[in-house]
Amino acid sequence: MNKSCMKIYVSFFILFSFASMNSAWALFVKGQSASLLEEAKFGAPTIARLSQGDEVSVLEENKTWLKVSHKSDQGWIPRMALSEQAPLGQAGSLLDDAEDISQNARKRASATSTAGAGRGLLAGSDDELSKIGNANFRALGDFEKMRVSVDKGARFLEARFE
Amino acid sequence: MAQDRGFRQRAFEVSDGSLNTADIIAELNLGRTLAARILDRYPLVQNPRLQKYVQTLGAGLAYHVGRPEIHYTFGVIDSDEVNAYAAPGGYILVTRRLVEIMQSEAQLVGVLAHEIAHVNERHVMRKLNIRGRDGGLFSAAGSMIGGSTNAYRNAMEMLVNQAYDVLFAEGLSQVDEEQSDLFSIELLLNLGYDPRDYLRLFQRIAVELREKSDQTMSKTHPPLRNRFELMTQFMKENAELIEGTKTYHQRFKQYVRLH
Repeated sequence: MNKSCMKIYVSFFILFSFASMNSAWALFVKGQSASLLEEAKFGAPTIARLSQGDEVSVLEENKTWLKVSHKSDQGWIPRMALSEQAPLGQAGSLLDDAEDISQNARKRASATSTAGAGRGLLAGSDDELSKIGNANFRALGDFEKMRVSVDKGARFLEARFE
Repeated sequence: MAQDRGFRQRAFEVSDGSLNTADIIAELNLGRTLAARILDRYPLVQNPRLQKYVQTLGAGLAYHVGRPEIHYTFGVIDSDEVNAYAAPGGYILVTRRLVEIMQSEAQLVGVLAHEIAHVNERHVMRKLNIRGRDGGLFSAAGSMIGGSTNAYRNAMEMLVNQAYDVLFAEGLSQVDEEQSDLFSIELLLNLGYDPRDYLRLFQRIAVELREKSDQTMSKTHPPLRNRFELMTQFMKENAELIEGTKTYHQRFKQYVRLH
């Protein structure tokens, strides 16, 4: 693939990967929430707040924005805030579930193949993985403790305007 | 219209496909182990105020565009390289030197957004063809459900070695980098950050790379000029969205004091 072809591919990928010219194509809110705006621009008045996993129907596109409908509301939303796949689960819950399964023989016996595959990947645990050369899981643990909630992060972004 | 839809369907198949729980758990485990290896070589900068700023800013971006199944984790590592790294599962690390040459929050957000795009699109996982279910390299790990932890550890170690090489030696594909560049410009625009300021960072990176020939970014990323031109073109096509955006350099200086 030559360079110009790749650029065209990338541009189309970005511009169209979350949109369809077909009406009523369903997408899902990817982030924790998203604002449905009156206009396709940052800072426009908010019509409604959508929550993670809410399904919207695409009505129209305008560059990086999509006009969508949700229940009785219609408005604009950044294309990158939407995904074609509904969320599989909340952060952390997948690993937590897998850990629960791995520690419970009764559950293990009845686990689905998917969960079983997950358990297999998890069963090494940090103790097991720490035997892998040059991997510092203590430092990783300290790093993970630094996390802040996405809600707090969103408030911090909003604080720019105060 | 049907042709458009067909293209977009394909784009999605490339983009996030149909992930299942096992795929994501594989990603999280590889990402954690890879991040542990990076942190063994490059410890976090001992600057709690800086780390909290980067973490909080990153979490704010994840609020808007993050994958819900991932806890994104952001930090600054003590490295003279001018670079940033995205391990699968949302572990995003920016080097101290790159932060040192930044001048604004818009520039930092641009870098974090670029790395978030790598995570969201699972670029490392796809480059290494890792899936959590049958057929992928992790199938060996799956077989250890019966108790063979050596098989799991060996499979993981091999994959971590490969992923480490992707980040520090081979790099991702040009398409992946360009996709991430455009994602970062789009996110900057949508959040009210001035993307032109992000391009100023690229100019500063170019100076850094000229002065220090041993920087690995020259090997792991496409030429800066090409990336600069692509992003400039994208901004021209969305010029009306730039109006009113800001750099937020003052807040950046309030939190980022490395000397």
